[in-house]
Amino acid sequence: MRLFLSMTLFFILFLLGLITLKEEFILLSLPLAVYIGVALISIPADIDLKISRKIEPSRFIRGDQIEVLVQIHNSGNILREVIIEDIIPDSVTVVDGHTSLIADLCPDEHLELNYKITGKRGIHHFEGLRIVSGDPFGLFQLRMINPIEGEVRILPRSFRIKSIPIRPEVTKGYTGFFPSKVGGTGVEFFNVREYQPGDAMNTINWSASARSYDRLFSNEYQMENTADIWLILDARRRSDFMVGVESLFEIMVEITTSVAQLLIQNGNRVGLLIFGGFLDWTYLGSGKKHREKVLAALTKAKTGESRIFNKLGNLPTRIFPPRSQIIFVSPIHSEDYVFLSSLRGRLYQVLCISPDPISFELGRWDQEDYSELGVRIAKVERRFLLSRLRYSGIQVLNLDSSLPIEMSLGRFPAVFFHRANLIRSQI
Amino acid sequence: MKRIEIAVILSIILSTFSLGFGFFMADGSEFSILIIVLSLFFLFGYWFKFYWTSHIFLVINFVFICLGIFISIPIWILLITLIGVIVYWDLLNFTSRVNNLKNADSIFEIEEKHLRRLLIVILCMGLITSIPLILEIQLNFIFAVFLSLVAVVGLSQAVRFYNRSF
Repeated sequence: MRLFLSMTLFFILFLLGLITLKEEFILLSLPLAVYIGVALISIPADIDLKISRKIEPSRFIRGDQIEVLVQIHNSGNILREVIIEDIIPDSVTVVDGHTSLIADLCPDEHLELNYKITGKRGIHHFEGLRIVSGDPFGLFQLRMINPIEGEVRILPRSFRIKSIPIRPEVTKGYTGFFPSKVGGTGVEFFNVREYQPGDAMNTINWSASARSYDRLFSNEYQMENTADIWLILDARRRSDFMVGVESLFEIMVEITTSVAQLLIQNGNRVGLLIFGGFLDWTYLGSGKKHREKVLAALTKAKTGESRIFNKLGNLPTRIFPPRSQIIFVSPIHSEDYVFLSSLRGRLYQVLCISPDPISFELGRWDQEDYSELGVRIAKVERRFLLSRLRYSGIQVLNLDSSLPIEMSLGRFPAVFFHRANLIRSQI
Repeated sequence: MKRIEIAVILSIILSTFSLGFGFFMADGSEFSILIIVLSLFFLFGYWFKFYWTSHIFLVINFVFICLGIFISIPIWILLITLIGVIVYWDLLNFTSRVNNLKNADSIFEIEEKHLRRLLIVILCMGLITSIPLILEIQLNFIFAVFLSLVAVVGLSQAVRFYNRSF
């Protein structure tokens, strides 16, 4: 545009001078000719930049900051007013430093771009660096993208949960934390049986033995084993309530991460199903590698819309081992009741962890944005839905989403026991 | 106020007042008022970061300069105007290039260098245009044909260079 305009004006003046034979036009075309000429002389003969980008660490937890270092070395001729800009993914925010520069680069000169980023959960790709070089007056400009790719994984936050007091009916053979209804070594009292040679002295039940004439009795404790647990994360678009930039889905992902971390840490086999636009399975597994797989799946979890999986009834349930423990993380819609109660009917043990969407929105809205009556009706509806689920034998944990997640998860076991007692008393 | 802003304001003042003064001297005071009003508009354009207005400013002033030649405004006035207009056009382009950069590193140094380069170019412009002014070269047919040939050769070289480089 600039080159075209300057050349056009120059030739108009020049041609006017030739046509009218007025030397003033020729004279006035000289400043433009000088301007274009200097620009032409300043064009670099070649551009030879060596660029490297260091992102350390390449994975970090949401809310943390990491440092990105871009090193530029000019191995070619002098570049005047060269623009170098690192193309940052939209979902990443720069918190400190600079992502672009405009400078003169002499041969063998070294420049650095150093900045800190933070961002949303997910996998973010850096496309490359945009380089604009040419003359200093912007008439002849060469734009190119230096394709230095980079990747940053921003993991969901996870919070410490003391325990999840679920009691899976079916346990595995390895030592874990869930009572297995089989006598053996453990902490919780299970039974009294006749003393057998080899029983430890401290297991002898002296009061029971005293009642007998010639026999000793020893205590048996309940074995504590690991279990197979499936986590189901609701990623339907309608389950994601958003107020400004805050999203209920993020809270659900963080809850799932915290629960998964604890369960895997305790040696259980954990599977993860994320359903929204499609089904994302992470099959049962345990150990550090499996924890990484689960984390990777949760890192890239996104909400989506699907006609099929919009209804929970279409979820394939055969993959869940019979009578296994299922932890369902969702705000829960009224239509979900049928599927959840049918799961319970098929003898699965279901725990619903439900961040309350009403308290989530109320905590972030101004009081003028909602009507008191509407809130009361919504609360009554939700209370009714949750009590129906509890009556079906499903354990429900209603988390207050207006509180910071670490606070609501900190209250996790206490709230759970309270609810569990409530279920027992109601049944 | 940054030096670049001062330079922009100085360039617009220089070009406006020289052209306005030229038209005023040639009994075109209504044109002078129009030029001042338009310059105020372009100054506001700069203030509100409408950098594209610099192209319009260049074209409008170019038209006024051509008109000025026909109504015999002194050539040195038109030269000052043209240099002022080119400086304004260049500085606005530079400002827009810098402002388009997201989160740019310190631009103070490069601003200074750009202003220095522009000053050298202005001096070159003054020097090169003053030579024919002093020598009072008359444009006849032979000289015009010679200049046309030079222009054709220069243009073809520029196009070749441009195609090779980009």
